Amino acid sequence: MNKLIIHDLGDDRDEYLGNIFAAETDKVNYVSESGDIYICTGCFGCWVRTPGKCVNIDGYHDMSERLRDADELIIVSQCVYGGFSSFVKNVMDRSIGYMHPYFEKRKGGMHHKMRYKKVLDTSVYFYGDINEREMETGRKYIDAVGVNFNFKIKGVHFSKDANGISKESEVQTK
Amino acid sequence: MKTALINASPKEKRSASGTLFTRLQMYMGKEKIERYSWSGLAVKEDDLESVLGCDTMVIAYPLYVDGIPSNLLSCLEQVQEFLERNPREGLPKVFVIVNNGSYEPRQSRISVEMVENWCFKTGFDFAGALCVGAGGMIVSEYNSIGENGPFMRVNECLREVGDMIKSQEFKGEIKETTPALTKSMYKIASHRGWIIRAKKNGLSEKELGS
Repeated sequence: MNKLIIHDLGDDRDEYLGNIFAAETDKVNYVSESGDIYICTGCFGCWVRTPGKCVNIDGYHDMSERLRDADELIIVSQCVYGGFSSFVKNVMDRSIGYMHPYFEKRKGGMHHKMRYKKVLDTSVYFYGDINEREMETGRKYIDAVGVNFNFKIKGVHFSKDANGISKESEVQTK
Repeated sequence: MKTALINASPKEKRSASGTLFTRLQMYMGKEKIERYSWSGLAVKEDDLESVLGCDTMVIAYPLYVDGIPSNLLSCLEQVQEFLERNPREGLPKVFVIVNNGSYEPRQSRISVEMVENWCFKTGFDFAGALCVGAGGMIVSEYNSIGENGPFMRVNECLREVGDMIKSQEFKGEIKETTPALTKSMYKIASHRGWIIRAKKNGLSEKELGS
């Protein structure tokens, strides 16, 4: 199975997370902070210049293809105000090439058409000093991201710190 | 009264957030206004002191992946850290204007919740928000159309925001609006817009993808 792990623990923690989330036979692709990452400037080059790929080549420009090639997505992120950390959010912002620019009606709203015909199993592990408000926002947020990216959300987990993350971390789904 | 208009769009030029601010300023009369750009990952501390000395901070941003753009997120964290090191009373009221590219402005509500959570953690008083849908129309058409055209509803909402800022009487509500066009019209205009942009880059409609 191809697993994609997006995290903000630093690239020296790739193996730590691989040991938690991947079996020996899995092929794991890590997206972690290993250098400068461009912020998404909303140029839409990933839609109308180089469809599916960001025009800023920095090692994070091919997120669309990495999502396309994954069988499962795991996101590990500090919970900041009920959403992702700045790094993980930046990676997700750079992933909008995974969607097509055209709109369609889906799940009761107007959302971007999917570029690829796939549903990606996704689990999110938030960590940090998270209050009840942020937990509630986090659950709603991941549901919304799931709709837009056509992710099948398997669980939204909350832990006090990154060292406490495990597959069995406290689960708050619905 | 002094108001900080903070454009947190990652686009440095021709952003919907900037366009909405230009319109809002028209409704603020002779109020003292300072405009800031938080398009990068950090805020200068001098600018931050100036912002914190205002009566109202209005933060405008585009919805990115259902949430706050990563640059603004980084700035908000920086403000929180700054206030933890330099606590103070009398912080400005915070009002949010968020635009999203999809039709329904309600899709921005979760991002507004995130700003509310930030206010809760930092001690700012959350004064309310305006969510503007069909954001793709804002940059392309807004400035070329008068008061009573398809942007009348958006103008009315911005006028109300201007009144709240001038009187400092905020309702704390989240209001939603769109330009006056149907969902189908917006979808057709949007698709046409992407095809035009693709052609300028030498791409056919088919090459946009499946």
